[in-house]
Amino acid sequence: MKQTVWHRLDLAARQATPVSLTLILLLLSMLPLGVPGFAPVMPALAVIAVYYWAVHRPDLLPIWAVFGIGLFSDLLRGEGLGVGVLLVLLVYGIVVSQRRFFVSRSFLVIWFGFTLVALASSSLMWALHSLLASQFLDPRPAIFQYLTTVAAYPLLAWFFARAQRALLR
Amino acid sequence: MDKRTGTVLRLATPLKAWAQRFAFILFTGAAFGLMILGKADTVLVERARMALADAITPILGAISEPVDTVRNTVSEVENLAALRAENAVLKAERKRLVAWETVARKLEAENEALRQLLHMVPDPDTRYVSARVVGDRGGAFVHSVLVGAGQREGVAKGHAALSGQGLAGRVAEVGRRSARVLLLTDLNSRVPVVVEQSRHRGVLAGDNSPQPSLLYLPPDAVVEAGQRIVTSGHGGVFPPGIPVGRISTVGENGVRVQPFVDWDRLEFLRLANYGMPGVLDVDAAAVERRITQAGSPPVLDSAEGLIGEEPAERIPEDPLEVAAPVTSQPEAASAEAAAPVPPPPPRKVTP
Repeated sequence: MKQTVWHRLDLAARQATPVSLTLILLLLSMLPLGVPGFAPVMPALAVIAVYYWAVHRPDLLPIWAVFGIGLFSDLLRGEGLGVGVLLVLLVYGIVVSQRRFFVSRSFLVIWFGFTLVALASSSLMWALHSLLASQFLDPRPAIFQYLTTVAAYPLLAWFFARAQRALLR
Repeated sequence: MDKRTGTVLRLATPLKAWAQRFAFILFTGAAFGLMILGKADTVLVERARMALADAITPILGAISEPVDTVRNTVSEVENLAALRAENAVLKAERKRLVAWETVARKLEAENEALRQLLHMVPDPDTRYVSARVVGDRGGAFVHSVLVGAGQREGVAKGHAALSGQGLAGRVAEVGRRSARVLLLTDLNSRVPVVVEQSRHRGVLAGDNSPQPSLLYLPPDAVVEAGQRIVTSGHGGVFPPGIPVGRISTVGENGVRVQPFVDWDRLEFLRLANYGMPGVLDVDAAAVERRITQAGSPPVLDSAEGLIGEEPAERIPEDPLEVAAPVTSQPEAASAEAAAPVPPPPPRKVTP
């Protein structure tokens, strides 16, 4: 089969789906929705996205892309630079090192795995922010965010799965 | 593609695992490096952040308009029901306000006359830039919003960000067409305030909770829930008298203030340039000269310090530094002693 330039472009665009979808989602999550009390407990979308793609298509999510996603999210939110990067790297590291656990498991098992991974990342987030502020911060925002993140996982996973089926076969 | 990766994997699995581990360590190290960079070189990081903000602001602005439309339609339908009652309330309020307007005009004239008597330095003019909030509050530990106005519109660091109800925060970073406003509730927010009735000074410090706490009150200060908090004007960032909030609780956790701003409905912010000499480009030395020419006028209200007399060399680049109580308080106090200029809010002047 001869590959034309268009074929290759098409393939490249398809393979960039995980990263580009994640970036678009991060951008959309910035929109002021005006839902009372929602903004401070916005689910950690970068963590969800990196987890999903690291579990399902690690081949399309190289580590530098993970780094880029974290950096993008940090710059976007104006948070302490590097914190978001470390969080997604942690998630990526856990998933990649525990690959055998995640291979062809049911959705519930993967969601369960996510509750643990998100717990680790939320704790790290709280610790890093406390470190940056050099004081013990109230952990409640981190706890709330953890809960919304875990709750948001199925919805986003469904959305990612649709995209995966449509664009990546 | 799959087949090829499969072969490569089988052939070079140990090598690949090693490379992967190495890459992971490398990138983690880079992330820590970024953290240190973010702490050390704030200018560079800020520039990167605002460059990205500038790039995405038009996109966010375009998307946020339909979102706002939907939101407004919903709230308009809600309001329709309450229209009649609201109208009655507004009419009553209008009557009351007309009376207030008369009082205000009288006070303004009186103030003007008294100011002329005292040769007081006139208040700088205020310019407003209204901007749409295009980006929501950061994350769990950062409370800031992006607005769609920047240097192009004349916004600069340190400008006060006001919503209809009161002070929302201050401009912390400026890009060409966007700016980041640090909200009162953010951990890094410090605003010099004063309790409106008793004139006790304090600092409103954000701590990521919806109700920032009031710190550094004098030990003998008696405060109670319900008292209004306004900006004091110390440190030369905000002028005195901008409404901030109301004391909500006084207890073991310190004094908490409920800001007037409705955080969930921040749609537009007014960025106010008060021309404060403390941070902006007004020649502080010239102001001082005028003060001395006026021959050190009497202090009308000693609890009310002043804004503009920080010496020129102390003009801080970072408004945060100005607002930080620990660094600015001593200087502000000494400057006050050196050149006391009364900036009293109108009601204080009249008996």
